[in-house]
Amino acid sequence: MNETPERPVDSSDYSERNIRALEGIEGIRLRPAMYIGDTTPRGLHHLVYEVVDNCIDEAVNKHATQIVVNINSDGSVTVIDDGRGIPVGLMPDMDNRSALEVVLTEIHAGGKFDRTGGYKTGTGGLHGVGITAVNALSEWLEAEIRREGHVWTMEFSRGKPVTELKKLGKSDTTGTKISFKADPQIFPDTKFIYDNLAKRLQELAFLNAGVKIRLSDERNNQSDEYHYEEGLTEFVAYLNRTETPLFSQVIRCQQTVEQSEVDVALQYNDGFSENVRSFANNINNIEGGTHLSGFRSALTRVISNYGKKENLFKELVPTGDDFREGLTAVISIRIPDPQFEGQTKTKLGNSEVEGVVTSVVYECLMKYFEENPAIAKKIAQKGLTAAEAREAARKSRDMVRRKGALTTGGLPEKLRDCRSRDLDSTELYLVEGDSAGGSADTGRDSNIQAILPLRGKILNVEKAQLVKVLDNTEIASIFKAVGIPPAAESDDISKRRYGKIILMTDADVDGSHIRTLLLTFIFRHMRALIQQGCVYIAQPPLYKVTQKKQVRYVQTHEQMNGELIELGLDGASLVYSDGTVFQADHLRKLTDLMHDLSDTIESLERKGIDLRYFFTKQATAEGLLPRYRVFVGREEHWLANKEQLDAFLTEQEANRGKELPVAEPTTAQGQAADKAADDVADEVLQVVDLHEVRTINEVVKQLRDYGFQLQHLLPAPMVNAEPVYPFKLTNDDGENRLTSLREMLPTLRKVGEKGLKITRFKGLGEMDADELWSTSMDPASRLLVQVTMEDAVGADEIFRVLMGDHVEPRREFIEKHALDVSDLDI
Amino acid sequence: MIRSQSCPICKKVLPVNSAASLATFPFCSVRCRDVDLYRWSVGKYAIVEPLDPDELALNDEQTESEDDDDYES
Repeated sequence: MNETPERPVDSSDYSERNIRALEGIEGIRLRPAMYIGDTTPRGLHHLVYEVVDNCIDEAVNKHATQIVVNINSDGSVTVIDDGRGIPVGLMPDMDNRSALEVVLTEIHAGGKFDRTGGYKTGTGGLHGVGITAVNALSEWLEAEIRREGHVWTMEFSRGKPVTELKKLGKSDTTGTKISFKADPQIFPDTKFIYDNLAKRLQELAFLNAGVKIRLSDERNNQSDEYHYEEGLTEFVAYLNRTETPLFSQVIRCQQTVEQSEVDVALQYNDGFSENVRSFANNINNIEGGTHLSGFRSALTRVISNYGKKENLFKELVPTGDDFREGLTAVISIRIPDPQFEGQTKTKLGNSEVEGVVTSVVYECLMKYFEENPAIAKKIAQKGLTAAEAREAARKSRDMVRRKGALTTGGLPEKLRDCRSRDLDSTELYLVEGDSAGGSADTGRDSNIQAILPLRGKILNVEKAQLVKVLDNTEIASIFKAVGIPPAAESDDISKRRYGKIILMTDADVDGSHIRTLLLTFIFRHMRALIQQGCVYIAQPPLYKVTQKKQVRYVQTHEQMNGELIELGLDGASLVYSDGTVFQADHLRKLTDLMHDLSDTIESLERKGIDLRYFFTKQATAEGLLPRYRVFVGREEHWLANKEQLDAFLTEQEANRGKELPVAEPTTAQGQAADKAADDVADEVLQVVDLHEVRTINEVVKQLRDYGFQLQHLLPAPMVNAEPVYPFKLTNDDGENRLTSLREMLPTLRKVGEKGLKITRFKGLGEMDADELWSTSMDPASRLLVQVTMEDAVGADEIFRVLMGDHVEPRREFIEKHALDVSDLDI
Repeated sequence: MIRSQSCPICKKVLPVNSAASLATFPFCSVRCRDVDLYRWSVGKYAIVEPLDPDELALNDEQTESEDDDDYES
């Protein structure tokens, strides 16, 4: 078609061809909804998409690289591409009209009915209706074609040509430019909305990787450019931009099977909604279709297989729905002959597509899971959580169906209820252990106090760890006894069966763990109780002290320790071998210093540091201890402070002419360092910071005021294989000889204990009913601590640590708390 | 409460200011609250404590990875 097309000169000729053309155009104008859906703003914007779809087809088939959409100041729209240009040659079998005119005025005319038009892959424009409909529904439309060395133009009004095809001038480029103004006779509102166009054009840019689409609006000078080299991968990342992805990578599957191009990208986020979009030939299939179902079945199969293989789905088996929580995915396929069905005519119906998508996605995901087991596990676990949620929802529905079985299904069997129903005075004791429950039952004021014994199961797993759980029936018992439903609001709280809910557990570590469990549970599922200040913790004592038939109770180790030392100090004096005597305030001050020191020194000893050896390393000038223990290979050095350490390192580097390799920080703990020092290579550097030294040095400085040095903390050297006692602690009852100052505290405690009978309660069960009543239950004498939201949040945090969510914090926590557990040495 | 709070189930960080006024606090959603209640009701929650502190390092490696299986989501 290199010749200038000629139009028949006599255009007033009235013939059957005019009638046929009018039929098509008039048909569209009479029933626009059949062609563009409707005449609302949605249909209006559809006009632009119909034109753009043609540009995209050119771009996808590598004939165009750039598309420009311009909203003009008069409200019309111009769409430009640098494709091949709509053909303009005359068509002998179409009454010698130009191809351009035929395309714009005839229904079912276009270049996309077969594969010969240079469109290798599936096209969006297919029925040959789109651009004709746009023309028919436009007040005016101008086409400007660059092709075959020239620029051609032609104008239309409401679908009919108003000018001939004119040659405007020369051009070396190719492309199509369509400008049109929507017809107000058809559309009640002809105003184009920038954001609507932007959304779809961006989507098209995502779907067609590499295509550059520029949108601008002359009405307000707004503009955007969309260009995505990675296509769907970027689409999914964009959809997830406001979410937190479960893993950073977007999984991508791309393969062409026969004539079907399958392209899928997916990622999970930490949310629960599914955001999956499916497209066939760039058309958004809102109702999904065969490609979506193919994708889903592949996804379900791959994750199910993985979960089974890894033995993750032991109690619950997630279903396909569960694997779609938090899933963001885009499925885009291109096929030669898409069939659409459904309400919106957007559901893909091609049955052959399902199998193709399934096999492509299945193979691709299997491979990905094999290569990325960590991500595969995350996805499978996400599905498991979803299954738990589903199971939980089902359970709670069941409970509602059974008329609130949790709260009204009778009271728990184990509950010992009270008589009063007055919220101002009634109390429910949640008591750890059946035997303590029994004592509490006997000792209580049954008018106002109810008892619910709870079993905290302590399991010994593989002789290596204690696992503490609440027996699973206990959760229901607590709801029933308290009488409020899960997730109770403040209104429900007033319906609770007791005024105060009091947790009473053993004063030991196990007890505190059970308390943490209970508190976390109440915080998470009966939070309103805590907010309204209804939850309390009983403070059962740890010690019973009997002195000449007088009985006292002591709450904690620290208090007991303190009391014994106070008693021991009474009338005591410390005599040093040089004759110095410490009494009263002086002795108390010395005791305080030793108290400060004892924890610190124990901490050093736990690190495997031999004090006698360590003390010989003291920096002579000041008589203080060095802060840093440094290994270079097997060589040990002690350095007093940071300055010395830096100087040492500089010197080492200078000697060796290079920086030293530093050992892994995990080995930089005293004991571990010793072991590590044996097997590391010569030049590996390890610096152990003994931060305890700071406290010790501080105390040592103060001890000087009393005339003591570091060595007084260690047992005095023996003479003739006999121990030497430089210190004497005396009181009215006699004297005790000490080999070092460190023995002072234990000795004071021993002295203080004289005449006392101290019983340590191993648990609530060791108290008799009277004891339990008077120490923990008698409103007149007991100690209750009200649980605040802060406390509850704290318990939740401790619980999360102890449950083992995070490796490191948990280890630190246990080590720290291991110190508190050590029994009082009496 | 100035420190940020995260949902015990999905670990999503809750908005600092509105966290406490959230109806599902400390959960991000009804769904996560349901999951948690389910775990309590089937006795899935446990506090794990190694018996011998000296074996801590050794045990931690094994138990931690098992814990992950059971409790992480």
